[in-house]
Amino acid sequence: MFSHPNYCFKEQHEGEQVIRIIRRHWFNILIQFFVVIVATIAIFGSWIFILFLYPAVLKNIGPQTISFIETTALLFVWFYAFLIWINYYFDVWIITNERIVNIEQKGLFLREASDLEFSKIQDVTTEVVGLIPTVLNYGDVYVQTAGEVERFKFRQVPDPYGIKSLIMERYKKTNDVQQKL
Amino acid sequence: MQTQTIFSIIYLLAFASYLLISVFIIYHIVRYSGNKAVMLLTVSFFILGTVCLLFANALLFSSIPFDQFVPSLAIPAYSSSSPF
Repeated sequence: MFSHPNYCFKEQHEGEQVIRIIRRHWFNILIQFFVVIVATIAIFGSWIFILFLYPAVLKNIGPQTISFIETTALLFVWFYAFLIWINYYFDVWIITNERIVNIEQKGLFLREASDLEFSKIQDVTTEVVGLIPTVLNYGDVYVQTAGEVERFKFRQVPDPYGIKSLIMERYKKTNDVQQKL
Repeated sequence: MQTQTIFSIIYLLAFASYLLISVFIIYHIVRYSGNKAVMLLTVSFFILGTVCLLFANALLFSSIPFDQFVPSLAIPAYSSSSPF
């Protein structure tokens, strides 16, 4: 049941066990990485382009200058790729045996963590819109609550129906325990 | 001041900002990673790539002959015989 015994997060309570870690679907990061792939191809392509089509430019400016400009551009692409990765990898929803934790990472300087106890859940709905999300089985999961945060949203997550079932299962278990007490 | 010196100062500032960005990225990966194995792999990969790119970038920068490349930007040395 506890599929992530090695995973721990900063906001974790003592004795709290992680049941499932949810990140956005891989297609979402692929779209963002498309810019990185295109930019990398353009950087390497420009070198070949100048070498074969404009050898005079290469002679005037010098190959080291062009290589310097290209490595600088590559550095920016490299940093941008890691910023995308950080945004993806640390933007996470964690379902534990106690609650749902949403850690939202926006760039390098904004990180928000909010949580929701299962007992506060009122309704769970899923939304899969479009051809690609339907084929790849990803979409949004909305958790309606009675607390301060009115709607908890899982954005572009894989297997939204499975996540809904898991949340409902945990909700029932929490309710059963509370009724027994 | 030579053209080379002006460009070197600008490059030094840029290089410092690259290092700063790298430190921020490493800090995030180390501090917020839930899984130690993933953290070590990502940090190693990032450091390796960044060091290679920064080293190549600095090496290429040092090989650019700025004085020949931008002769019009060369600022003449101060002369004491100047009437001003």
